[in-house]
Amino acid sequence: MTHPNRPFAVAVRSELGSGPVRGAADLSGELDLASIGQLRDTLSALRREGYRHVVLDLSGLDFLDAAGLGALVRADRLFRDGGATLVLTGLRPAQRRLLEITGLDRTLLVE
Amino acid sequence: MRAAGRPPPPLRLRLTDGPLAPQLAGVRQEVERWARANGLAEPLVEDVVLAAHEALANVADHAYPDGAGVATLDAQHLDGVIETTVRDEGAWRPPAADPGWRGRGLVIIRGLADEVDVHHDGTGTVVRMRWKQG
Repeated sequence: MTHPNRPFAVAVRSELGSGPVRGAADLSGELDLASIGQLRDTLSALRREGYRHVVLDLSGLDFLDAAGLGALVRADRLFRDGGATLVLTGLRPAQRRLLEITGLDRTLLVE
Repeated sequence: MRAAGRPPPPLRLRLTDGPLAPQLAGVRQEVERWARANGLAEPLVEDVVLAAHEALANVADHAYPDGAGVATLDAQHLDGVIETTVRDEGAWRPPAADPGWRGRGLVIIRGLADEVDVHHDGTGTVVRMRWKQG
């Protein structure tokens, strides 16, 4: 955690030349119950645009709560239902521990 | 790591100012500042902040129909024990369409704190979280 609080932001990077197939998004700031709508909208848009494989980089995330985890779980389901994959990367030890506490390490794809 | 002889003052935050969710980022900063001032080690600072946040997020999410209502947070550090307490004056409602966070929020609180008590009655809900230092 750094201070002052950085607002949540999600920046999408599409891999040039691959078309809307493989993409990545960098999360930064604080993902909590007040900011999950932004993540949901971005990931829904990526699915609608036809992305098949999206890597979410959490290394810039200062805070992640249960609501944020819930948003990641719902996005994961949305991707799986469409035969696509969502992968989380860049998790800090504290965030990995959260996944273990909640058992989501067995659901979400983490690399 | 307390200064000898003078216990650091407890923290009390009373949130009355409309919807709770947007106020929680500021609350986290206050709790973080308090925990650091009490000399808590860094991983514990993060655990205390997240657990307090989850207890308040539960209040924001379900205690009041419109997400706005009174919530208080107390934190004290006494004899090597950190205790934080979140109280609301709302109803303990089972979630209509459980988005999964509420159950998960309590799982997180129980996973982070050494001891957790949840008490709810007609006047509201109290969540008490304790950590023993060292």
